[in-house]
Amino acid sequence: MKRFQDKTTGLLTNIDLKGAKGKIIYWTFFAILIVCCLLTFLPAVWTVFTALKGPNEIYTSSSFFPENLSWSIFVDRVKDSWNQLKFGKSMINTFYFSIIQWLFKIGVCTFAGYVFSKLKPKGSTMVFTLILWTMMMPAQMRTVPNYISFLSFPFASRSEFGIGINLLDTYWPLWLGGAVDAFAIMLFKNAFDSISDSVVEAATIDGANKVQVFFTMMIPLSTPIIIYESIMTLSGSWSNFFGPYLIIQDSAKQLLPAKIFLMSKDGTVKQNTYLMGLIIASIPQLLIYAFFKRYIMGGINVGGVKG
Amino acid sequence: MKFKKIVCLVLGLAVCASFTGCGNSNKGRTEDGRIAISTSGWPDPDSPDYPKAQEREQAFEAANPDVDLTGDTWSFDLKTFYPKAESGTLPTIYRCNFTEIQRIIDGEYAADITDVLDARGYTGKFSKKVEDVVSKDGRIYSFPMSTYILGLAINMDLFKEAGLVEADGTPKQPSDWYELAEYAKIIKEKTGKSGFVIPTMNNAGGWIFTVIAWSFGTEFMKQEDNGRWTATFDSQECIDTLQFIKDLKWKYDVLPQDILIDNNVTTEYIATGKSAMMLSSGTIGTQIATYTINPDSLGMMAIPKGPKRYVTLLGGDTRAIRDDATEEQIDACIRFLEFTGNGYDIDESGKQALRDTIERNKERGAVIGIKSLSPWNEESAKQQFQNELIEEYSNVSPNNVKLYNDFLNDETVEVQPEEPICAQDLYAILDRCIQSVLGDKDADCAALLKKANEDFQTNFLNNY
Amino acid sequence: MKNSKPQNTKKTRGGSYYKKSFLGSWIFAVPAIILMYMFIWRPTVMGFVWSFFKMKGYRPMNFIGIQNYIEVIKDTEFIPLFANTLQYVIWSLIVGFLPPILLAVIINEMVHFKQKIMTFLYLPAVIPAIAVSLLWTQMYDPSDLGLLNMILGKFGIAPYQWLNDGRFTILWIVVSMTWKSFPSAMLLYYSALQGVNQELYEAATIDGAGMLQRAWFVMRPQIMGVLILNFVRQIIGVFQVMEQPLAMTGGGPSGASASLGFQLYNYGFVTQRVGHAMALGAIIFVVLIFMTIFYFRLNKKLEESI
Repeated sequence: MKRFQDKTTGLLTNIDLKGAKGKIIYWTFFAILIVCCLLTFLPAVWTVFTALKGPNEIYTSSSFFPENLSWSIFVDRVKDSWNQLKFGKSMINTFYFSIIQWLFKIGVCTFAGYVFSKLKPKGSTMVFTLILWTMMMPAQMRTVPNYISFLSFPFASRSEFGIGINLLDTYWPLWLGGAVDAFAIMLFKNAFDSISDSVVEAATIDGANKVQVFFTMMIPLSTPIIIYESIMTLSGSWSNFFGPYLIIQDSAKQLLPAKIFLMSKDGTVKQNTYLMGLIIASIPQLLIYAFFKRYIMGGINVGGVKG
Repeated sequence: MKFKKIVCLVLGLAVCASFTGCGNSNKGRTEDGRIAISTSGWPDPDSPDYPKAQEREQAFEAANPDVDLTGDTWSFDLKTFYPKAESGTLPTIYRCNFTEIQRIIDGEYAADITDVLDARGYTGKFSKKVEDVVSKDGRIYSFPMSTYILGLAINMDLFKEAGLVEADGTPKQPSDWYELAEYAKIIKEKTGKSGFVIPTMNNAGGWIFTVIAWSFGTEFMKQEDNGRWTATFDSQECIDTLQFIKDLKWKYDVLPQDILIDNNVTTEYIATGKSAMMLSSGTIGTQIATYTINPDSLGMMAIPKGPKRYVTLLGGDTRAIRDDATEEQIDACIRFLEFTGNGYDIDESGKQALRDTIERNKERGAVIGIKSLSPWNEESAKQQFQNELIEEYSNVSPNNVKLYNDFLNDETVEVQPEEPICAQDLYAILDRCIQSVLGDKDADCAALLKKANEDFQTNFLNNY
Repeated sequence: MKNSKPQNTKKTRGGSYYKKSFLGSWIFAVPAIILMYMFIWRPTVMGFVWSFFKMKGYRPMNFIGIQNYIEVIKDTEFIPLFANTLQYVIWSLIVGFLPPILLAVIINEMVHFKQKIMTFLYLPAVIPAIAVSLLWTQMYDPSDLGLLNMILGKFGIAPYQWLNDGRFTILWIVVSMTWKSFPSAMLLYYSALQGVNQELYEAATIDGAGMLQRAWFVMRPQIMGVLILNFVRQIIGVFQVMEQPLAMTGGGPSGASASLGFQLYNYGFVTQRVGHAMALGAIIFVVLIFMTIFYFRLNKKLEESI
């Protein structure tokens, strides 16, 4: 257990903490945090317990705990929910979707960051400004026009040439649309900027070309930021709701978040099955969090968000 | 000016990609010269219904060698309909219910099928009211498959518990809305469950509300001589209706606690015994299948009378054909409908199709025994056969549904289709009125309807 | 690239290490630029252009001037929707703006279990947003089966209507949004606080500054930038709220929780008034661009004052 002496200065100094007043304030703070932890945790616990209630109990019992609680009930309920809501299929879909999404996004954005950071061909500053502007542009405006262009890709609308590919019911609009992100490009540009020019110079003198420099220097030297962005992209894919909801109509191709929304509109799904569904749908992201907590918590510094 | 340059660049690029031309290459034939048609609502390959559907496709193609039929798993849903129509990926023939068909016809998404129907001898065979729903300016745009009228679906267990059954087990029919409220109150007192449930959202609330309002004498809109439409439900009759809904909640206290309920949830309420009565069509028998209830728990009777009129809503299911279909495609589609037992007459293949469907529904746990209204102007062979089938496969005590089945043949009840234009928009507005009176004890019905009337006029009728 | 000798040694231009090749360099950025154009710039411009067109389904037909705008603004729902949207923003500032700051400050003080507490507090951020909305809808259940009414019941209070109470529906939706979004904001502030130079505290303490003074004079300047950025981002983000009313209430009861974004969705994908959707999108766009400009002004002033 850590002790007050180890505390670095802040609002409360370790001198304050020796006094009664300082201690009271400190433990009040502590209590507030515990309450907050409860607030974040209680809904999750309630969901699990409610999901474990029996099919009739769920509509009648207002008790916090289910009448019967055992491992086998839990397993049964998970199985029920998994089978009835066909989660297997949408899990695989979402997994597949997220991997390709990740490839697209990291590929497109790191290359772009490389151009704007190191290659800097003529005009690149202007284009980079243009890209930064997109961060300020409200996304809602684009929803409908984008949707229209997906009906006859790559044209803006069907009435132009009467041709074009219908991209609805495919993942392409999501992959392509999700591949460019001004924030990610900026992130990578900043990361590459911090790689010393002289190192790159040395490599080029040794005969490395642009592609080699990119793969042997840029990427390895900015691993933390790439890992951070990868985690964000992956977990983003697992919670992407509105796009897939609009674009994917075939239920066999539907992704998990849209699936659980549709399930909530489906009156035939019983409430306990449904709540279990919500839990199952949250698990992939929880796993990502559990494994990469370090990067998520630390990554925000790398992002260098400044006013 | 860097800024100007950028703007010019972007505008230029955008304009490049936006000028018109048109093209359509739907000849409606496959490579080997057969007529290509596709149909909506096909089962998924992993569904237990799939083999039967495949069999039917082969049988149809054997009987009609000039047609190539493909199944499309898409089934009608407004959200997905428009993008499908715009991107040209609609199936040739698709299901669409009465509530939506008007929009589809107005949007010119359905082909004119009058000539083909005439050629196949359907002239004058549809009942007049049904034909009106699927036509515009005297031309027919969609093929009515089945029709229903709204009745009162009940949970028999709750009725029995509350003692609201005759000696022979027939549930007691509330004759008018106020008696329905009394019954609901008795149920609430005896069983603790809500006596009555109405949907309140996703336009279903307004949909039900219009029917009750008609029986109170409300007229929702009328067309002026100059062709413009005026909203007219800012009337005493409509206020009375809304007051009645409000009383159900605050005076009789027979509605469920939740005031945001959609159409699926009402069925759940009846199936799981959370509520005793709801307005519903006879199709509830199949909708309820997912709850795997004891069939005898469901009952069905006539709609209560209103103070002014004895009226119920005409609803149903139609098949529309996409607007760019050729004459021969339309013809092939109608042949397919006949083959699956949806025509005026019925042959062996049609009989088999109907039998398969009903068998499958029964397996799934549907309640069989509730009949449907005939879309034809006189007793068609198909309808007769269907009724025989229902009796043959019935799994519900006849007394439970007797009142509804008699109600279907009741000459005194007026059968009215939905409001002619902007019906869905009207429902959305009425949904809000219902939510308001259910959420607020002191809501002013007259003021709400006055505003609703104005909203409907300015936002929808004026832009129609 | 055999002869890729540095042509000049000025280090300010990164491109100088390579053999000058305009196309060879641009080629790497081509995918990003094309996609940017197709998915961000073009739809934005086309949205403006089409807002002046009559649309048939999703097909632009003919130019009709500002008819779409007139119909959108004259719609009796427009003002209430705008008011609702502002209500979302205001509630979210009241409910959602301060807690993450306070929590970040408090966590910054912790010696015990700091990492564990952070881990727990961060939990809501990793649950998919849609699942959070749906979950809270269940918790807000107006019968005694919902979690919140269950808790009220424990204290002997009758079930409350929660989302069904039109006066506060937006507040309850905002509470659920805050639950989801506070951890990441908290983390932002926390990392800003971590960047405070320890000597500043010590210097302040020696100068006799108390706790509150230290907070004001040492912490505040450090997080002010993030604070303003988050403030504006929150306004811009919440102004476009759409998924939450869609998933939780369908805009109800009686339209009490419908926002402009929700209406845009309705126009565009439910009631098929696509022209209206474009016009409304353009209106939202303009409002938010003004917000952004305001932010830059504010930020500039702040930078000048420091």
